[in-house]
Amino acid sequence: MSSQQGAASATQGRVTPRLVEELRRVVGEENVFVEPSEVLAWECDGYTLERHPPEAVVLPASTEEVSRVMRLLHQAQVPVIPRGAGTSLSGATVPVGGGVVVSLSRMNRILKIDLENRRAVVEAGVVNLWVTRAVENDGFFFAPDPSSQGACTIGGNVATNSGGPHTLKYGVTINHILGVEMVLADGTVVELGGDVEERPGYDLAGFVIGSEGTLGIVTKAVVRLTRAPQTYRTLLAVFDTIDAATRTVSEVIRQGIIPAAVEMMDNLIIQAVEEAFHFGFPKDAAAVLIIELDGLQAGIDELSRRVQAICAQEGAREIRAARDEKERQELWKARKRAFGAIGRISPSYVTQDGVVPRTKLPDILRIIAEVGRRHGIPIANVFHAGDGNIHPILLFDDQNPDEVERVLAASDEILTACIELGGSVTGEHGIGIEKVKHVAAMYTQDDLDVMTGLREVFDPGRRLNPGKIFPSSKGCIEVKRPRPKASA
Amino acid sequence: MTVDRAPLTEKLVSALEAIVGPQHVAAPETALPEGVDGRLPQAVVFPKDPEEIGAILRYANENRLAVIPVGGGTQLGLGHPPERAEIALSLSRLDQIVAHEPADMTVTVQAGISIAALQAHLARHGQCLPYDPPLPGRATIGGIIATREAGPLRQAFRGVADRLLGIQVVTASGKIAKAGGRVVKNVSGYEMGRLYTGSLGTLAVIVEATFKVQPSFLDAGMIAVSLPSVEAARPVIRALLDSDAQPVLLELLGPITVGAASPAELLSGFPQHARAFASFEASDLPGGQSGALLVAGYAGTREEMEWQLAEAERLITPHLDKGAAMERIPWALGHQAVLQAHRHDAQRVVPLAASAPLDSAGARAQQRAGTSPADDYVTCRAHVRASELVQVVSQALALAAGSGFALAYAAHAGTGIVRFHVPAGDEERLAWLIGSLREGSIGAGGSLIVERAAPSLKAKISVFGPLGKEFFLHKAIKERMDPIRILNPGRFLGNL
Ligand SMILES: Cc1cc2nc3c(=O)[nH]c(=O)nc-3n(C[C@H](O)[C@H](O)[C@H](O)COP(=O)(O)OP(=O)(O)OC[C@H]3O[C@@H](n4cnc5c(N)ncnc54)[C@H](O)[C@@H]3O)c2cc1C
Ligand SMILES: Cc1cc2nc3c(=O)[nH]c(=O)nc-3n(C[C@H](O)[C@H](O)[C@H](O)COP(=O)(O)OP(=O)(O)OC[C@H]3O[C@@H](n4cnc5c(N)ncnc54)[C@H](O)[C@@H]3O)c2cc1C
Repeated sequence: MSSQQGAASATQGRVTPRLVEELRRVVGEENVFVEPSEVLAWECDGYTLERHPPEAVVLPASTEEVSRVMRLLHQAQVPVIPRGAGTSLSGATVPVGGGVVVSLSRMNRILKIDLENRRAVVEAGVVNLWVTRAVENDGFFFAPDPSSQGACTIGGNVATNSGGPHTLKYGVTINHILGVEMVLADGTVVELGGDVEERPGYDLAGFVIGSEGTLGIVTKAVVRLTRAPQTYRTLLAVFDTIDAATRTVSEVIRQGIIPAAVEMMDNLIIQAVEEAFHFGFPKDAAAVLIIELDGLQAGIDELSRRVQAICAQEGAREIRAARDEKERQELWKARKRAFGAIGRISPSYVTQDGVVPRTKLPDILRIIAEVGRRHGIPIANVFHAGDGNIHPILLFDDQNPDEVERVLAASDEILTACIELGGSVTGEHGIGIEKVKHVAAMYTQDDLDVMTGLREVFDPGRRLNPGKIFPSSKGCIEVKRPRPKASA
Repeated sequence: MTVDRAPLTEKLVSALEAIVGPQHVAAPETALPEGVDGRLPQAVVFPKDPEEIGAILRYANENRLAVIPVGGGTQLGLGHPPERAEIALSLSRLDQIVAHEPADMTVTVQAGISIAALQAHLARHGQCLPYDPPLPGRATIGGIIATREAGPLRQAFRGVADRLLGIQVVTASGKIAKAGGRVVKNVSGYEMGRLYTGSLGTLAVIVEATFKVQPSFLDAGMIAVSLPSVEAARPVIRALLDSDAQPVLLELLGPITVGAASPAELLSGFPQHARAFASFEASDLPGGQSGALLVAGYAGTREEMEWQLAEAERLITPHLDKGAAMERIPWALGHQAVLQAHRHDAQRVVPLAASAPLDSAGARAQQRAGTSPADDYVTCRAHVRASELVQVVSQALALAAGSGFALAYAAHAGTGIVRFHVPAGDEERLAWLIGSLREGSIGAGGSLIVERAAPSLKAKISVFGPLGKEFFLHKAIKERMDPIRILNPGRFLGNL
C-alpha cells in the first residue's frame, strides 16, 4: 500500500471555474476565494518556513454544507486541506500539493452545555478559550490549554491532539473528547463516540484524534468539562543553572507529587519576556520554573512547602509564590505570551516540539545548547518541563538563506537526539509537513503500513491533507516542497 | 454446558510445536477445559515472544485457522461465541516488566503480566496503575486493554486507554507493529492504542504496552449510605459530584433490605448477598428489599481525605431520612464489596493452566470445583448519561419486578455505567428482558452489552445491540486488518 502513496497526485483533479461555481452555490458567493491575492492568506500557518497557496478556499457554515462541499471535491478528485485557525506550528495546513482549503472558522457555535454530565457540544471552529469562558462561572473549565488557546479551534485541537501547560495533571485533548461528528472524504457524515463514556465497537472517536485532518473533517465535538480546583498555589523558582532546574522537575515527580503544571523558561526567554512586558523576572537567571499546584485547600500548603523544599535542595536561589489570583494570572500571562515576546528579538523563529523522558531533560537541554552554538543559531527554551516536552525556539532571519539552512540542520539534530534519548519528535504540535522525514526514524515500515492502511479505510483516494504525517516511499512522486521565501 | 470438541489435528499440533517447542503446546482438555464460550480449540499454544506469535499467526493465516488470544481467561465469555476456534494463543509467557523509570512515571510491560504482579512491582516504588479489575491475580494487561473494562476508579482516573502511551501488537498477518511511544506525550502518527483498546482481540494480538502510572493513594477512606430507594440516591449523587470533595469512586449497589443492618454490615454481607441473589427467585424477595447502597470513596493525603470525608458527610446528612443510614467504612472492605457486586463469581473462578500442560484429571477436577460460571446468572452492562442513571436503574427494577425477575445491580454512578445481574433461567424470557433493558439504555443516550450469558442464550439475542450507521467503518477496519478473519472471528459487534 505504501507504494501507492504518491499516486494521489497522478489522478489529482483541478479546481475548474465550474467547480468554483458549484462551491459558491453551496456556501455563498462571499465564502469562496480563488484570486491569488486572496488565497495568499492561507499559504502557510504558524510554521512559516514553507508556503504554498491553495487553489481555492471554502468557508462552509454547517455540517450539511461541509458534506456538500466534500461531495463536490470528491467528484472532482481535488485534495482537501481542513483548517481551523491556522496556528499549527508544523505546517499541517500548508497546501503543499495545491487543493482546496476547507476552513471551519464560520462554524463557531457552542451548541450545548450540559453541566450535570460535564460535557459540551461545540462546532469545530469554536475557539478553545471560549469553552472555558462559557462555563467558568459555574466552576468548570476545558482542560487542554494550548498557549494559543485564544485563537486555536477545537477542531484543530482534536486534529493535533493538543496539549498545554496543564496537561501534566489533566491530560491532552484525547482525554477530553467523548465524540466527534466528522465528514469523510466522500461527504458521508459520521458520528463517532458520543454522549456517553463508551459505545460498542471500536473506539473510532479516540482513533481519529491527532490524525491531522487526514481522516475526515471534524464538524462537531462532544468535549468533557472539568471541575475547577478549589485552590491553587503557583510558584516561581529561580535557578542559576539549567541543570538545577531540570533536576528539580524530575525530583518533584519522583516524590510522587503531580503538579497541575511545571513550565520552564530559560535566560533568553526571560530576557525577551522582560523586555516586552516587564513582569519582574530576574534577567540574569539561567532558568525559572513556574510550578502550579492545585486541588483542595486542605493540604495544599503542606504540598507547596514540600515543593519549595525540593527547589531549594536542588539549588533554587529564590522562590516566589503568587500571593493572589492576580499575581497568578500575571505569571501565566508571561508564560503564554513568551512566543509573542520572541517576535521582538528576532524576525523569524521556528519552534520545535520534541519529547524526552523527564529524567533526560538535563541531557537534551545540554544538547540543544551545543547544537545552537555549533550552528551559530540562538535558541530560546520555554516548555512543558513536567511532561518532558521541550520547545526550543530557533531564532533566525528568513531573508538569510544560509541561516535558514542552519536552522533546518539544527532542528534535525535536536529531533534526532530526542528519538535517541527514547522520546518523540512531537508532543503536541504534530508531524505536519515539517517532521515527515523523522517519522521514518521513529517507526518501521510495518508500523506505518498499519496506519496508512487504516487511512485508506477513511479516505481511499488519500485526498485529505496529502503530504502530512506519512513519508512517501522512494520512487514515488514527491510532493514538491518549495524553497522557503520571504514573508510578505 | 455442552462443549463442542473438534478432532485434534496432528498436523496443527506439530506445526505449532515446530514454532514454540513441544513442551509449549497443550491439549485444550487440560489447558482450557471450559473452552471458549462452548467451543474447545484444537490446541493451546504458549509462545514466548512476539516473533513466535508472528509465526503462529502467519501459519494460521495460511491455513485459515481461527486464533483466540487468551490472557488470564477471566473474560473469555465476552462477545458472541467465536465462529471458529482452532488455536488458543496464551500470552502467559509474555509476563515481564520491560522498563520502569519511577521518576518518569511510565512503565512498559508485556501483555501477559497480571495486573496484581504489575501493581506489586509499582507499589514498591509508591506507584500504581489506577485500575482495579476483579480477579487481579489473573486478569492480564493485554486482557484489560482488549476488553476496555474500567472499574470503579474510572470516576477519577478515566479509562484504560487514557493512560496508554504506546502499544506493540502482532498483526493478523504476523507482523510486529508499534504505535505511540514511551514518553507521556506523543502525537506522531495515528492513535492505534485507542483502536486496539476494546477491540476484543479482533484486530491484532497485543504484546506490549506502556502506561502512565500514578502515585499510590497515601490514604483512602469510604462512606456508605443505605437509602430507602434507588430514587433517593439521585440527589445524594448530585450533591457529592457537585462538591470540591471529588470521590475517586462512587458506586450505587442494590437492591438491599433497608434497616435490616448497618451499611457496613450490608457491605460486608454484600458478596454473599449478591451471590445468593444470583440464585434467587423473584418470589424469594422480601418486600422491603428495594433500598440502595451508595458508596463514596475518597483518597489523598490524610488531611485531604479527612476533609473530604467530613465534607461528604455534611452533604449527605440532609438526605438522611426514613431509615437511611450513613457510616464510614474502611477502604478495603468497601472496595472488595463493590468489586464483588460487579462480578459475583469473582471468588469462584478457577485459575487456568499457567503454561505447561497440567495433569489432565487434576485440572479438570479443579475446574469443576467451581460451578460452571456462565450458567448461573446473566450480566448486562449499560452505558448511559450519568444524569439518567438512577432513572434507568429504577425502570429496570420495575421491569424486573413486574415480570418476575430477581435483578441486582451495581453502578459506577458518576460515569453512567451499570451492571445488571439476573439469574439464568428461561431463555426466551431472558431474551425479552435483555431487549427491554437495552431499550431503556438507548433511551438514556447509551447502549447495553451482554457481558455474560450462556452460548445458548447468546444465540437468541444480540450481544452488542444495534450496529449503528457507522458500522461500515468498523467492518472496513476489521477487513483491512484481518482480511482472512483469523482473530476471534465472529465475536465482536456485528459478528465481525
Ligand atoms: C503561539 C502559539 C502557541 C502554541 N502553543 C501550543 C501549546 O501549548 N500546545 C499545543 O498543543 N499546541 C500549541 N500551538 C500549536 C497550535 O495552536 C495547535 O496545534 C492547535 O491545536 C491548532 O489549532 P488550529 O485551529 O489553529 O488548527 P490549524 O492550524 O488550522 O490546523 C492544524 C491541523 O488540524 C487540522 N484541522 C484543523 N481543523 C480541523 C477540522 N475541523 N477537522 C479536521 N482537521 C482539522 C488541519 O488540517 C491541520 O492538520 C501553539 C501555536 C502557536 C502559534
Ligand atoms: C478496572 C476494571 C474493572 C473491571 N470490572 C469488571 C467487572 O466488574 N465485571 C467483569 O466481569 N469484568 C470486569 N473487568 C474485566 C475483567 O477484569 C477482565 O476479566 C479482564 O480485563 C480480562 O483479562 P484477562 O487477561 O482475563 O482476559 P481474557 O479473559 O483472557 O480475554 C478477554 C478477551 O480479550 C482478548 N485478549 C486477551 N488478551 C489479549 C491480547 N494480549 N491481545 C489481544 N486480545 C486479547 C481475548 O481474546 C478475549 O476476547 C474489569 C476490568 C478492569 C480493568
